[in-house]
Formats: sequence, C-alpha cells, structure tokens
Amino acid sequence: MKKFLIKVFVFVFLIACLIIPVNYLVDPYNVFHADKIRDNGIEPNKNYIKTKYIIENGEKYDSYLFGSSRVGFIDVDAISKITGERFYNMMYSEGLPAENLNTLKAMIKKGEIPKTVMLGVDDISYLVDPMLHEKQLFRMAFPYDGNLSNKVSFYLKYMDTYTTMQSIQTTNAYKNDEKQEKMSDLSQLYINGCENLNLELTFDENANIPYWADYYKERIPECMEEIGQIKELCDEYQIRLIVFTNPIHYTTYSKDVRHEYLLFLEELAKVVPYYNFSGYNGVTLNNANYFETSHYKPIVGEKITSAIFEDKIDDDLKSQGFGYYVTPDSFSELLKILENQRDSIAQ
Amino acid sequence: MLFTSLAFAIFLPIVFLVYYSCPVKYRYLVLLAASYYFYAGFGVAFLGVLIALTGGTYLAGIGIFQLRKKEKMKRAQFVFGAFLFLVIGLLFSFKYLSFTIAQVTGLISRFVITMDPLTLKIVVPAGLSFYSFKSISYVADIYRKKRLPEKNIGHFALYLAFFPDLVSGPINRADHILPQIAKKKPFSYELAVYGLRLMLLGFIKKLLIADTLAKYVNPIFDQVENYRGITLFVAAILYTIEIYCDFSGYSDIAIGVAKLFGIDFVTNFKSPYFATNIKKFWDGWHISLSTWLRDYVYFPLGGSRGSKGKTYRNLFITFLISGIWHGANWTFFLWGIIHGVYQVIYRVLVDLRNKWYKNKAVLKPQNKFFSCFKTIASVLITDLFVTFAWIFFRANHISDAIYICRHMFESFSFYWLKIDFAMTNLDLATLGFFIPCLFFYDYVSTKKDVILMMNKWLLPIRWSIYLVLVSMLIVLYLHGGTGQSFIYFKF
Repeated sequence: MKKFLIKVFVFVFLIACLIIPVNYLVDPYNVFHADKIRDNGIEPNKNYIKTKYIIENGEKYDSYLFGSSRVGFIDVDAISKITGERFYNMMYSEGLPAENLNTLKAMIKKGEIPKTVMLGVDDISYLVDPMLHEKQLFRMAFPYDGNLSNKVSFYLKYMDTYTTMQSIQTTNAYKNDEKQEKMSDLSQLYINGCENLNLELTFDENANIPYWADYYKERIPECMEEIGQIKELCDEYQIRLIVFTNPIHYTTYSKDVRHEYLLFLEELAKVVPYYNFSGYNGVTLNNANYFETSHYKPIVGEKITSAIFEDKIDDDLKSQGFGYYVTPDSFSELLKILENQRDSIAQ
Repeated sequence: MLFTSLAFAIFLPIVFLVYYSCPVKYRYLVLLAASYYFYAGFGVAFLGVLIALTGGTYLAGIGIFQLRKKEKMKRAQFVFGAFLFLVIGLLFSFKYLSFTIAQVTGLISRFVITMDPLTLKIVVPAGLSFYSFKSISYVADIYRKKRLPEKNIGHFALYLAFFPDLVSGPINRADHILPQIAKKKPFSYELAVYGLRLMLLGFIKKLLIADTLAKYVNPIFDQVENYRGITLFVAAILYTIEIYCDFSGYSDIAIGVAKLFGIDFVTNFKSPYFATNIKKFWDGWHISLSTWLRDYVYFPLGGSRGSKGKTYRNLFITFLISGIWHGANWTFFLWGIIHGVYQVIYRVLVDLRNKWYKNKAVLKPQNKFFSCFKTIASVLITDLFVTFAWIFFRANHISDAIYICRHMFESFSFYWLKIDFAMTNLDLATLGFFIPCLFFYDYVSTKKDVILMMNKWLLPIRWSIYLVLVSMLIVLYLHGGTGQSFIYFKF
C-alpha cells in the first residue's frame, strides 16, 4: 500500500510539474496575475480581475458602472465629480446582466454594499447567452457562490496548456508590433476601470457594417428576469439603481430593430425605469462619435453622464429620444419616436 | 457525478484512502456510504428508488427461498411473478410510460379525435436499467435454486449500489460480486496498478476519441437533411468508433475503479470490431448485457433446445428486447429488430453450411494468404453490417435513419467531407494518432492481455509512457474539454 501511494504521489507531482508552472507563468488571461496584470496583447479576463479587485479594495469605491465594453468609454471619474461618489467602471467584453447580478451578489456577500449601481444595457444584454461565457477563458466568471470543486475547476480551466502555448505566439507578435493601437489602458484597471479614454482611433468608413456575432440568440424573457433580480437586490439593500441603454451605432441598431430591440425596450420599461440613448439620433447617426460600429467614443459618454446626472441634453437630441427617461407610462411616447425614426429611415 | 468530472477526481482518492484506513470488516460500509453519496449526486430522490429496490429485492430473495424450502412452489412462483411485475413495472413507468402515452395519444389524434399527443416529463433515475437487471437476475437465480439469498443486507446493498457499475454497468451478477464483498481481502498492489492502467485506457477512449468524435458526429445526426453522400457515410463510420470508445471507455474506467477496491468486474468488451461474424461481435460487445439476456431471456424462452424455427424466434425476441432496453424510441426498437434479423440469418447460414459439410468430404486446408484475406473480409463485412445498424441506433428518428441510408451513397465528393466536418488540425491529429493506436491495442488484445504485458516492460519505459499519455490527456481535455455525458447514461 505504502509503495503504491508513494508511486502515485510521485507521478501526480511529476504531472503537476509538467502542467502547472508553464500555465501559471505564461497565464495569457492574467488570471494568476490579477493583482499585477501584464500587457501581453491578449484580452485579460476582466470579469474575474475586476471583480476580485473591487472585492479586495472595496474601501476605494462606493459606486459601480456595469455593462459591456461599450460603457468602457464612459469616464466614471467625471461621474464621481458630479455625484461626490467614488465610481468604478466594472465593464468587460460582453458584460451581461446575469453576470452583473452575480458580481453584485458576491460584493454584497463580502459586505461591500454600493451606494449607486449604474447598468448600461443594449442588444448584447438579450442576445448573448451567459452560458457561452462559461466556456470562454477571457470572460469566465469566478464561481463566488460555488463549492470547492467549482472553484478548483475554474482555475483548472486556465491549465489549458495548448492555448497557453498558442498565446506565446500572439504575445510575441503583439510585442513586435509598434503600431499597435491599444483599446485598453491596463493601468486604468487599478484606478477607475475605464478603457483608454485617450484612444486616437478614427472610424474606418470601409467597415461601416453592423457589429453582429453568429452566436446571437434572442432571450428577452431571461434577460428581463435577470435585470428584475438586480432591481430586487438593489431595492433590498437600498442601492440606487440607474439603468440606461447604450447609444448603438445606427448600422447595428438597424439590425437590432429587426431582432426585437423595440420589444426589449418595452419589456425593460415594465421591469425598471431607464434612460434611453438608443435610436436613430444625432449621436448614433454620426460615425465621428464611434471607433467602429460597436463602441462609442468618450465624447458620447460625456453626453450620457450630463443627461443622467445634470439633466443637460441638447434639445434636438431630446426630441429624438436621446436621454429620454422611460417608465411604463411614458414608454408609448418613446416607442412612437423610435417607430417614426425607423419608418423614415426605411423610406 | 461523472467519472470525467473534477468532483469524481476528488471523490475517488478520498474514498480510496478512507476505505483502506478502515478495519477490514467495516470496509464494505465505507463503500456503501460512498456509493449512496455518489448516486445522490444524480438526484437525492433517485436514491430513494435505489434503496427501495434494494429492500424489495432483498426481501423477495429471502421470501422465495423460504417458500421453496417449504415446497410451496405456487406461492414462490407468485412472489417471483409479483417481483418481476413490480421491477419491470418500475422500469416501464420511468423509461417507457411517457413514450407509450405519446404514441397512444398520437394514434388517437390521427384516427379518432384531433388532439395534441400527450407527453409526460419523467426523469429516469440514472442507471435504473442496469441495477434493475442486477436485482432481477439475483432473485431469478434464487428462484431457480442457483444460489442462496444473501444474509448480510449491507453486502447485498453494496452489490446493487457499488458506484463503479451503478449507473452504466457492467451488469455484474450476484454470484460474481457478493463473494468478493464478503471476502476480507488485503490491498493488492498488482490489482490496483492494473486498475489504474485500465482507467487510463478508458479515459483516453472516452475523452480523447469519443468526445472528440461527438463534436463532429452529433451536428450531422441532429440535422441529417443538411448533409448527403460521403459526409453521411463517414459520420456513420465515425459514430461506430465513437460509441465503442464511449461505452467501452466507460466500462474500462468502471472496471479499473473497482479493482482499486479489490473487486473484479466481468469483462464487458473484447475487441468487438475484430469479430469475423455477427455472433462473435455480440460475444465481444456489451458482454454483461448479452450474457444476461442469454441467461434470463433466451434460455427461459427455450434457447436452442427446440426446433430450428423456435431457436430463430427466441434469438429474434432476445435481440428485440435488447433494442427496447436501450431506450424508449422506435429507433432502438428497429435496431433490435435489425440485430435480431442478423442473428437469424447468420444462424440459418450456419445451419445450411453445417448441413452441406455433413454431405461433403472434409475440405483441403486453406493456404495462409487465403485464410488471412478471408478473415479481413469477414471482419470488414461484419463491421459494415454493425455500422448499418448503428445508423438506426443513433438517428433521432427513423425517418432520419432512412434519409441517411437513401442518401449516403449519392455523391462521393471529398470537397464536402472537408466542408461538412471542418475538423481542426488538433482534433485531426488527436484522432489520427489515437484511433490507429486503439485498433492496434484491440487487435493485440484478441491474443494477449496488453495491460498485464506492461509488467514486463522496463520501469523507465513504462513511466515515460504513463507521463506522455497522462500529459496528453490533461492537455487535450483541458483544451476546451467537452461536457459530453456518457452515451449509456440515458439507457
């Protein structure tokens, strides 16, 4: 028995030596280096890194902005100045309400109860199934409410040696490319969580096509359930919840409308009041306001901030539904505006 | 708890250490507790079904034995009949009731009144088909005076619930397992090492071959109408390999795990795709089920003792039951029929050949080349027939299976093969390496016990092979390892 156990132990040790060090050291998604992430040209798992950071540094912030990478260009420092609260931008690639709900639960469980939660929603919120993210190493959430097996399983997924070896090639290419434009400014991750607000990138008119992923699938009821739970949680802990819709570039918005976006807005109004910035308006129709057909520029983020916190909206934009405060009663008015826009664009 | 889950990787070493730390006479209790914990992972309510069946079978066994002892044959017969009725009824209600109701209401809506076919959502307890067969064979053996009832209810409960064979077999018989449970054996180094090697083989079959193949085969079988020609033909062949690797891989893991606890399970697969005829295929495929059906269905029906016609009938019924056992779908029913027909045709041909040989002088011995050619041709033909039957087994509907059969020889453009499968280089390399290795292993296994042969290899060679294989297993599994559940879990 002793001989057997020694042999098994030695064998497991040898295997561990072959697998663990290389994955730990290369760590393409910076999961094992969450406290000091390295810029290796690969999208880090910001969902994991940011959640871990705010849970461990809860005293630095008291309010949070959740959403997909689109809200990454909203300067939360500007919001902090206006409100006097200390905001952190929790955005990450395809951040979803279901995941935001879990993050919020994890924060509350650790005793970090925010004053304000801002939630930016759009087509991604109801077109992406959170289950998909559970297989994506750069978006996978840490199972804070899971058991030991779930937690070990999370880290084991980052022992994917094949992907790790492939990442070395990508990292080398990135490091040798001096012209590389950086969407992310990783140093911001430990300051306010925003993307690179000084990004000098102009819209490529040749790529003026909708931003659309082949795995999009409508799931409005599930999405509403998730947002409803966020609202309930905020009500329970007296957290101010501010929901807004992102101003989606008109090409992408056109496709969204064909995929029930107006129904999404209608259902959302039944669950929670929100500020609307979607539609065909002066912001979304102007390519200069966008890096590409998905991400809007910081200047748009400023408009959103002014509209929500200072009630400052350009009159023309206001008449186009930009910054419109939607409640179940006022939704029909917004719908009229959006339908008119859709019909006139169609003509 | 799947054998391929992290939870099982934590569970197994803990059970192993606790088991051998315990005094010998209490070890079976450790295994029993571990088995119930393992099964509760599939649903606590299912545990109730298992425990109820354990109690019922135990009491039925003792009752029938006592009645037979007192020569009360009619009462014994009645109890046995009632027991069979209850167990088969349990199996039927969980597995086939929903399907039967849907079929009946479907017929009513077609011919009597317009209505939507009624469907019930009944969750089948994992492994019910396997442990209910174990309980039937136990009671049947007592009824037929082939064994005495087990006195120790703990031993009996462990026989029925032992976690390695609980959810997907092999279907071990009581006379094989109960004496091993009762015997207080010390730890066997040789048996444990053998078990670990078998587990490694099973994991390679399941995770690297079956799961990789499933990624490409499933989309084709799930939407057959989008494909035709060589794609369907290759998908059928790949499924033939997939189901073998999946199920025999599972059996290897189960047998290997049991050996860690000093328990020897029956062999479940013996290189079935190297069989030279359909009878030999069934001698090597899911042996524990085939022998169970032989002993508890075919023989009671009369086996081959009656006329030839009755033998053919018995064979056909046995394979039909085998098909129905696999699941509540017409596809399994048809698969059973196909194999029943194969068996009958084979038996007719053998009878004809024997008759012909009887009237002829003994043939000259064949030369080596011809003999080899004949063997290869026989193996390939048998495999083709088996593959044809697997199409019906895997298809979601009979219409899908018919579509495949009608369109698989339409166009043999390799261009579509590349487009339809779109296999990644990594998967291609994995399958290209491991499938030939597996076939070589299976071929050698027809003559020798390869795992035992490894003892003769030098330690550095053995350990290098272990390290390379386990590293490959971990690297490839963790690289997008799929959550495929074992195919036989749904049976």
